Amino acid sequence: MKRIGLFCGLVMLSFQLFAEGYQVNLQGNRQTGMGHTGAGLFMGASSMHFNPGALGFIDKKYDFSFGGSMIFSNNTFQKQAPSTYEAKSDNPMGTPFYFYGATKLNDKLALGLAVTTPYGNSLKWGDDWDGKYLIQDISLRAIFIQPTLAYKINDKLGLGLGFMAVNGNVDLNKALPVQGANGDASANISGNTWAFGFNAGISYQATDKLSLGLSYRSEVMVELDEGDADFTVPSSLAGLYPDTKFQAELPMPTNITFGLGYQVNDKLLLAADLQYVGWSAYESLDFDFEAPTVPDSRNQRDFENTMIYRLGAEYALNEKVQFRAGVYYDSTPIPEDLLTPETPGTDKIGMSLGLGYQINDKLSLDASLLYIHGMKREDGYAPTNFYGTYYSNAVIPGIGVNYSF
Amino acid sequence: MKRYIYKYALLLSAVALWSCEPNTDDFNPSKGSADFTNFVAIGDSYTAGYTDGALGRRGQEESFSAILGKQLMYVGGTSYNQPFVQSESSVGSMELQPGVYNGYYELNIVEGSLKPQPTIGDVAILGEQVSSPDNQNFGVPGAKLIHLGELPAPYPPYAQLNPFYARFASSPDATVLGDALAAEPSFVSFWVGNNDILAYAMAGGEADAITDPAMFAAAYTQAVNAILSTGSKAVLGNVPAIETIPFFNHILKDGHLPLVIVDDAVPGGIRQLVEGEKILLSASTALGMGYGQSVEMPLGAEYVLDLNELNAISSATTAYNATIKSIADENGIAHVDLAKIMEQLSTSGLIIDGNRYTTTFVSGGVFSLDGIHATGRGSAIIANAFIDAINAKYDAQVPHANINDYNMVEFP
Repeated sequence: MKRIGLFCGLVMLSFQLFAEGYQVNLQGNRQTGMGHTGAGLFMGASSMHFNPGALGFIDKKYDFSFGGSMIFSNNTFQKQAPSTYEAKSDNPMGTPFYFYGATKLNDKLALGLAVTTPYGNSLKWGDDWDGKYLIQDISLRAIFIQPTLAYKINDKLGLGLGFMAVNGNVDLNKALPVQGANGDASANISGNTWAFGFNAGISYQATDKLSLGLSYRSEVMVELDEGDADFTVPSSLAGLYPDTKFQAELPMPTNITFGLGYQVNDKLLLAADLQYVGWSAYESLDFDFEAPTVPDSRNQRDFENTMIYRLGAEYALNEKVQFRAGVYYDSTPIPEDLLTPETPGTDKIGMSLGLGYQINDKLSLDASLLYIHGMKREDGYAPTNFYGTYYSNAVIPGIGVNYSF
Repeated sequence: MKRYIYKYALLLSAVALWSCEPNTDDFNPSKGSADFTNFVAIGDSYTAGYTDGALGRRGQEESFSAILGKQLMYVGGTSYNQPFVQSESSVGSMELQPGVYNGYYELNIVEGSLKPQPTIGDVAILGEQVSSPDNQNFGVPGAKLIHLGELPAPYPPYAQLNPFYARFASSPDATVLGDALAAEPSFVSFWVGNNDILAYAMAGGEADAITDPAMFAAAYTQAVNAILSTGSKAVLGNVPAIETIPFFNHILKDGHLPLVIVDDAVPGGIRQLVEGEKILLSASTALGMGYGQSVEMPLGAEYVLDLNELNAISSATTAYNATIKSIADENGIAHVDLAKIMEQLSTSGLIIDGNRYTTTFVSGGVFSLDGIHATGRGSAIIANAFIDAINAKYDAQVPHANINDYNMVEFP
């Protein structure tokens, strides 16, 4: 149980981008081991994230699952030729986590609470790197708190509905192209707010072997009305750049996932998910500053909707041990000429391995290891003419514990 | 069972170790068909690193030629030695009081608004003797093209006329071109001709003279032939239009003003400023004292470029640039169109690595507080233009400088 204590300690640290855009798909270590499939599977309490429709099928009275991951990510930027300039980000370790607790109210109804971190981004390029006027560092995180109710219509069909309360937090720094005795001026932007949404799912056991699921997670528009903007500028310009409030909004996009599960035999389970992410909601990142002398900032994003294709498998070696593996392809929502170092997205391939271990009939452990390879992307952000080649990868070990009785 | 776990652990660790950092494809600098072993820069104050109205070590380290010299070290350049100012201070050419010359301008808050003001310079810099056979920077503040070779009688040798050259001339009788060629260059940047126009233009057309374009063409041909005869290759820079320089357009940036100016050519000797004429940045003090507001206090002609003067300047600039282009083409050497870049900077501006650069005085990022010379960033933009021209002509891959590594005007 020592490991569990460790994870509780990490929970308060930052969260980390590592699906495309600023999505983080690491909401269950069993699923992560299988390429983060799960919309078509029955996976106990963690179904609240993957498909609340499956929650009604929990077989014990109480079901708990919690865990987390450590994201070790690397981003390298190579400036557009001819240039020898190269920068490596110094990203803090990301620590997304999840907690699920569910109980069966009766044979038909189940009630649960999920706490997850499906969005986040934490990147640190440095104060003096070449893209400092675009971004120096950013920490973006969202905690989703989701009470969920599921109803099992019959032994084959289940529905679920969750309400999502989202706490969003942002803190970013960028340099401003005005110089004083201490070098560049800078801006710090921060804020914290609540926003709301819902998710819903339907789960269907089509045959003994085949299960299907469809889940919908609504867009959550995080609107920050009273963010803090602090400027560090030469004193002669301090009157023009007072510390002020700002308004901004950032969408957490809609997700629609269709999943399949296929129990080949007693030992082998196969899964496939098709996840649609409505990134087109992210059109622009605009900061409206309260102080009239501070010019508002409009930043074109125009993200495009994307698909994530996932495949996973679980092999039960015996009653106690399961091996898992999976692979997925996550296409980038960021169009050509709109690639920023704040979200240096690129098409990604994820490869995962997982291990399940049933300690006793109540307690089980899941470990996963995910390697994400970002395709090299030679592109940039046209509005500020910052171009180069972005490289990225991440190694993400995770561990989780499940307890049901 | 154990066997499986070992196998599994092995697989896991293999994945974990596999390229923890992404592999990158490196950019490979190359010299192409040129030889940058011994790069030599010949020119005027831009090449020397004059900035904020003075010559000092800060400007020398951020001149376009120093930035270019540094980038050429990626492709075979071994050094870029300069006649560095030894003093901590700087010196310009404006005599504030008898024997006291200005140093760098700095931006101060004066009566609630920002104003560039000269510091006191160190005149001892002009007496420094830093001549060295290893020197690679032959940029002489104030030098025209026609000053680089032997001067015609009755003029004494140029080192005896220009203390900025005397600092590093090999002897009192030396010529700039002779000294530069004695350094045995393998590659030369040759950006001259600015002062052949600016000396006249900055005096409001009331002193000095524009170098006659035919004389310019002859001297330019002779100089380039001398450079190429050593076996060196070269890049030639042309002359930006004065309209793109804040010294000539800052005062009337918001439009025409009905100022009263001195003009000896009209009856009564004064008239109103005509639309299209230019008031020089040097008029700031006089305008602040009320000159130009009344017939009793007309603004002196040395602060004004009238339409005739502007026409003469414009046609000389066009002629010089045609000469420079045709000489570059005839000799198959690189040519950098700085006039075009300044034109872009003065109209739409140039967005580079997160910032928009313009020729706006003080805040545009390109020009220093004298309104004529470049900031470090401006110099880096110019150096990258030279690099683009070199890469195109010699099929080279000289890496760009990072513009954001250099300085702009410092605000108090």
